[in-house]
Amino acid sequence: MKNGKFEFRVGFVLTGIILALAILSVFYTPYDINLMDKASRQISPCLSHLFGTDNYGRDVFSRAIVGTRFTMLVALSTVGSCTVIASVLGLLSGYAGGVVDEIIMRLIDAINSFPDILIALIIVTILDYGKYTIILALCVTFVPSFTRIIRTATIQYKNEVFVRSLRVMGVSDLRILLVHIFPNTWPRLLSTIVIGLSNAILAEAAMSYLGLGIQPPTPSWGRMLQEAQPIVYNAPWVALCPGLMIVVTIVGLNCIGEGLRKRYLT
Amino acid sequence: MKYFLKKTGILVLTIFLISLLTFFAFHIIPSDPARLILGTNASEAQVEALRVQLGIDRPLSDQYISWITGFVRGDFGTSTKYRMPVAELLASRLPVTLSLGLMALVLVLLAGIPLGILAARRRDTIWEQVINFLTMLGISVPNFFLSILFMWVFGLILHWFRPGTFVSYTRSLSGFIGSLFFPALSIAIPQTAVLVKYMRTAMLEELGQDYVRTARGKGASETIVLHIHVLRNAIVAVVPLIGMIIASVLSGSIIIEQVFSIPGIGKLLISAVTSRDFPLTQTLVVYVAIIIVLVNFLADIAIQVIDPRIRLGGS
Amino acid sequence: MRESLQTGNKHTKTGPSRYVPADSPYWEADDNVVLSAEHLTLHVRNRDGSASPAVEDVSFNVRRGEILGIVGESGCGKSLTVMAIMGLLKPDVKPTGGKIIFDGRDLLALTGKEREAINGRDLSIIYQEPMTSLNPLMKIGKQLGEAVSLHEKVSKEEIRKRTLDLLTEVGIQDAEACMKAYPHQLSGGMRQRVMIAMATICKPQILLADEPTTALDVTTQAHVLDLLKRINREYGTTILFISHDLGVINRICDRVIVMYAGRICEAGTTRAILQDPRHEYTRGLIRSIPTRDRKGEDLPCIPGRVPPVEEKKDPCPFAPRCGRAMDICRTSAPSVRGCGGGHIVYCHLYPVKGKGEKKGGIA
Repeated sequence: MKNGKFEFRVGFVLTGIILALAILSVFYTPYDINLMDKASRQISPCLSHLFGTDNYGRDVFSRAIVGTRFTMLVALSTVGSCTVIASVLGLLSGYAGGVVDEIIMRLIDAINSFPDILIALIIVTILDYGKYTIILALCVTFVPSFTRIIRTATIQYKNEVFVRSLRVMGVSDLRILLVHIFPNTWPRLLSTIVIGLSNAILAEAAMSYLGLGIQPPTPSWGRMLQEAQPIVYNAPWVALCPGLMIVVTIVGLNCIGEGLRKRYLT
Repeated sequence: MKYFLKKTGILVLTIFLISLLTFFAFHIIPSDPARLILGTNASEAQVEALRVQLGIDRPLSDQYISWITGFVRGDFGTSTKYRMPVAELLASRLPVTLSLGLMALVLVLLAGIPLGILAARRRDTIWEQVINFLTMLGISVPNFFLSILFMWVFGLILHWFRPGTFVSYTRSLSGFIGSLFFPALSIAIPQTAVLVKYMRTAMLEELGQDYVRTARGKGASETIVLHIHVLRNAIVAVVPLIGMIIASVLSGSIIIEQVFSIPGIGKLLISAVTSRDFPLTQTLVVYVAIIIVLVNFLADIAIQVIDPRIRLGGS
Repeated sequence: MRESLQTGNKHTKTGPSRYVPADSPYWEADDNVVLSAEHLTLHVRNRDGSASPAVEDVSFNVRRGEILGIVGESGCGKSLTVMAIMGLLKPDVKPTGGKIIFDGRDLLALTGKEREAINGRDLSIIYQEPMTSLNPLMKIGKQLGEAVSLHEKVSKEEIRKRTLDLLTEVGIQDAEACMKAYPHQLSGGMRQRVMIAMATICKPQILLADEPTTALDVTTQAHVLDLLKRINREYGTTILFISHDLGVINRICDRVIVMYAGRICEAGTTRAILQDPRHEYTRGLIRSIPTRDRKGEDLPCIPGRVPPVEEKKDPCPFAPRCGRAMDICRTSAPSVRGCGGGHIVYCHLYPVKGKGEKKGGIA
């Protein structure tokens, strides 16, 4: 447990299952996700409908695994673009120091003083709803913390002897940054990315639940929960399936994050 | 004192930046609010008239100044959706959200600190594993999913409360608290998990410190070591995070009010966002952000009071 | 150095060796023994889950009223030995063999309650880091008072009086103010005085001092050493003094145990060890003390390094660094040999003799 092996194992198994389902959904779903069938409304879980059907007779399991795909897509693109932006800002800020650092950090501080959900709500209000808006909104909320972590690591390595001797040897700043400093920030960046993914999934689910994220008829976990809420007494499985999938995914990612933290940061 | 002045200065600057960023976010947008409100069928003249009425035909700097001076005086503008002053809407909703947030926070502290101590006290036993597992689960459950589960189990199956009904504090105080309990619980559980995690880490960190060894060398029992020596130091280490937890509690209430149909700031904000009521959204965002910045400011001041090292270092 | 060496040995009693296990031919009963370690062995758990010996087969006796030094480089197990006596070993260090006898009981077999009753009352400890060894959020007066109230039922007023007196006695000028201060408001020397006051407030039989002067500057160091010596003389408190610095040991200790890589290599009176060292390791340590008459020369040092705990060691762990190592050093562990006057050495270079060595000593 000390070295995080157990956490890794649990984490990889759980996220592995979810990822496998998401990939599976590209090629195959048990039912058409938009197929409405009055005759098969609110069927409780059985062999033909693993997680039953919803109020319109759509297969909950099929919709949930397709929802996984969209949620994963949003989370990955958010964290991916966020990592790129934050790497540029963080490396620049940490390495250049001075005025550049000051400007970037004040900006980051200002964004940081808003709670994440408010930033997301502002952006959703002024732009159209949809996948890209939600990615942008989440990206803006995550950039500050990512930038900070890269900046801290950059400053730490900037002052190390090996970097100073590289500079004496006449290695260019850009090369020092990209080849010698940046890779050193990866262990810390990696656990931030994993935690970022789980936060992005939670945030996307919340926004979609509020009706401000992915728009129907595209299924997403948050949206499914919102639709399931009024019928939870008669058909609790409609809520349980996407809800539990969120929990499993987040537990899995958090386990990996914890494992990374134990292995590299203690 | 110097520290206090500096902190206050930063506070004022932050609030100014928040208002500025929010204002410009709502005004440097591709879409035209007047067009959004009236829809694509409205004529150009109608749109133009509404723009004058909303005051968005004037230069941006003018608009900002009149908005911010109004804000300071308590005049927050008029909601385009509700057709009434934002201040009035706010006044009727704020007590609800603050009560909900306070209840959630009390639940978080009441459960989080003792559980954190328990996890540290029972370290290297099965209890630690159990608490770790529950913490992990608590952090991973979205609060709105919890709400739906509570509604289903406690509301619809056990009939402990009626989902979707809300009793105002003006009608019955106990009814009010009753209708906020499960919403507060849904907000509290994930945050409690976060606090337990911090608390446990802080306790274990402190347990490894030299002064703990000194206390044991004096013959202090495990109980004295934990409750007299470690606890206070651990709490000092956790206080800065309480500000963050309060911010999360308020963020959580925005969603949870929607789930339980509680007429608070959060529900108002979401309806303002969905109906693209810019004046209302803008004011609410700034308002909530200021509350959170203030809370963090107070947390900073609180550390000054309870930690003698900083208390003396700062003066 | 010569001079202080003489004063350092003032209370030395000559007599049979007290460092040897009860089953050794050199052992003799002595009523004066207040604490004894017998074949103490401690294992440290490594990262991969295996365990390595950090202290191996260590036996010594502590006599009532003496100042006994343990000297060795860092990582030789001297601190672990002290922590084992106090029952303060970290969870990854486990006693795996031997006993520590105090007051007729094995300290390694105590229950939590029994341990709490002994710590602070009969056995007390001061540490290397006075900076971090005090609770940062508790006033000095309260921390001192706690040491009393944990063991004695006395009134608040009484505790206050005792605390004030003791603080004055350990050389703190404004004891009133000190009581009300938080640790960070005191200097390192003051904090170590407070630590000493806290450790001696219940008049313990044995005071364990784990490098108490290492973190202090030289002047403060001298004051603290004087204070410890005074406590030893005035209260008759036995002191077990750990240091890596032979100079400091020389100033304060009556007898010395030299440890290397978790084992005892040599022990005897401070005078015998410093003037007539037998073990090559002790000789190396003494050679590397800077002195005035060797000014300008290179300071000799012992080649090589202390083996890490997890490394597999030769039967005589010093063999790889020893200039006079023989084949036998790598095949069998040296047993104890007496050199007379309570001086013993664990080294194959010296012949094993019976009890007859008492008068003459060994060549």
